[in-house]
Amino acid sequence: MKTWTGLLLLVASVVLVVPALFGLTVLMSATSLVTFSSMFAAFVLVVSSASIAIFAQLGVLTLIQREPVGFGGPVVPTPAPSSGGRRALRTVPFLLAALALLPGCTSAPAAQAATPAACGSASPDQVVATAALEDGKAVPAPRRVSVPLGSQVRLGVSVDVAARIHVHGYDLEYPVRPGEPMCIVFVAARAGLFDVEAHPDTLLLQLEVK
Amino acid sequence: MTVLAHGVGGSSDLPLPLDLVLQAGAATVVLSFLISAVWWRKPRLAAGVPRTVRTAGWLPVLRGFVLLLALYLGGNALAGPAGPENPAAHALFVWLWVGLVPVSVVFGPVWRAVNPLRTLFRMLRLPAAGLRPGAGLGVWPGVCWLLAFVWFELVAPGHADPRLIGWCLAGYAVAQLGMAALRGEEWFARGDCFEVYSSLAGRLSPVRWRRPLSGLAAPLPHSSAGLPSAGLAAFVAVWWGSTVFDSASGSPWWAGFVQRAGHPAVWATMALVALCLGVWVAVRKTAGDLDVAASLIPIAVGYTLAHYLSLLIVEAPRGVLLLTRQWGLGEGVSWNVVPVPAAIAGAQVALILVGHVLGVIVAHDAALAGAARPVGVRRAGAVTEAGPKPVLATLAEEFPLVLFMIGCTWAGLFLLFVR
Repeated sequence: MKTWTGLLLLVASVVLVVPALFGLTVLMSATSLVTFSSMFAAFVLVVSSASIAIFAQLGVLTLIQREPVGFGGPVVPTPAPSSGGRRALRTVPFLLAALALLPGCTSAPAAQAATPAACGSASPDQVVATAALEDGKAVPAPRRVSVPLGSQVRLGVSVDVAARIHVHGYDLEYPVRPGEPMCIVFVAARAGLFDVEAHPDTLLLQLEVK
Repeated sequence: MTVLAHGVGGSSDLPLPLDLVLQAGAATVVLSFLISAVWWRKPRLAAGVPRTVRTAGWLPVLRGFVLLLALYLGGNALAGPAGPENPAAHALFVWLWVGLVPVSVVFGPVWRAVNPLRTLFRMLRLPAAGLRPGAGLGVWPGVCWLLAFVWFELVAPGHADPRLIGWCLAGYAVAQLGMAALRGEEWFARGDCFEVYSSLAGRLSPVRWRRPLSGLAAPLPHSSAGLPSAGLAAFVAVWWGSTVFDSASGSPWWAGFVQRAGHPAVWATMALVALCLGVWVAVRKTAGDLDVAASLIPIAVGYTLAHYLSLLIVEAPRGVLLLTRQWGLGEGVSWNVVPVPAAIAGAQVALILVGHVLGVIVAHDAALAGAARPVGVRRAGAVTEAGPKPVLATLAEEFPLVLFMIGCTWAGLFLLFVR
């Protein structure tokens, strides 16, 4: 009896590898973490990996246990496992809440807006990114732009009020006036994640240099 | 070169590579379970006795030094240069807030030993027992002060302004000294959030607790005076939740949301409080009868160190440079160390996962120790002893808590991945 229970638990934990792998593959190929499918995949991954661990643990424990415990023994303290199960159900909302906290991330470059005339046309090995400050908001919405380390960045910025544009990390800061789009060209020679801000603190975009 | 416009520069770490995060996370979760089930079947962590770290008479000197430095920095914040060349923001947000964690993890509750407010309290000869002694609300005042501090650090507009920092520090000192005069010197141990912070992180210290992890098995203070460790759990929740908020609010998604919704400070305040409250409720609900504050400490420490690692490396020496530059020293010196992204990423993953493993072990050990105690009521002669609970029942009780810890670990890894 005990052996069967232990083996069943071990088999269950092996079977659960399938949903875990499914979650893993979906997450690896996802472009964004805020879509429903990748949220769901993350949830499946977390729950199934936890279940694998717990089932494997209980299975091993049942198989190596000498004295009768938990399952099938004459002195069975059954309430504890069942209440554990009920409590476990109660944690599901919190896990969901924790997952909902995952902020957005786009690894694929978002659609580029029209390049300001000042930037001219880019050569093939340049990374072009544009942002506009309209009514205190970044247009398009703040996003992450992937830049290969060592490549040249052409950053086109237009504003509707006078602002100072600051590229963090490279410490480039330029004043930009309304109606005069500005083109900032520099070589991304330092790896990291850097904010491009219209000061004081409006995030236009983030450069992910790697 | 432009001066930093934000007081203290933000993190520029690359997001963690996803495959590294997923593989390391999954492996650790499975391993921590197997270790605790197969190898750790009896409670092994006994509460040790903390050692007093020998300072060979240097402690008064150290206290005096910290007091003088604090007074100088406070006065300089109020009367010195008003721009970002003032080291006040670095001193408060990098040296004290972030730097206190690694120092405490190594040496134990250092802030209790050198707290300038305590030194001031003794020098002013305020009544050590207090005018109206009492336990009051336990550690809850510390929780409120911590929430106020992280709000000031992460949300308050103009929080890098040296004048504002100076006035806030002066207000904090006056409020703390007043409460200490009322409640006695031990007020600082539960009302001064930096001291609570340092003493919690100090439970991991191998210098103070000779046997590894025995500090986490020792009973937490304030839990005996009719107040269960709810306050301490709330403290850890605010600590962890605020770091999570700092991580999440750096994402472009949050920036876009706030730009569209308007009123950034209001939204940030709501998100910060909701996050801390959510973590606390989750801790209380999942913990059941187990005392979990101790097992959450390594998780909070690991995540804090991972999140602020590069900030500490880059900005802490810059603060020293700002300070010496005021005295006309080291004009041409600059600190432009760029941490290798791969090394930082590896260290971050390792810190979070080590924190997770320690947390699981401590929780498991506490559950085993709780189960080993006889459940039934002992009466002379009568054999009503129910004996120790079976290991499986213990594991089942522990299960929701461990699931919550897995959630914390995955959330932490994912947050470092998106940031």
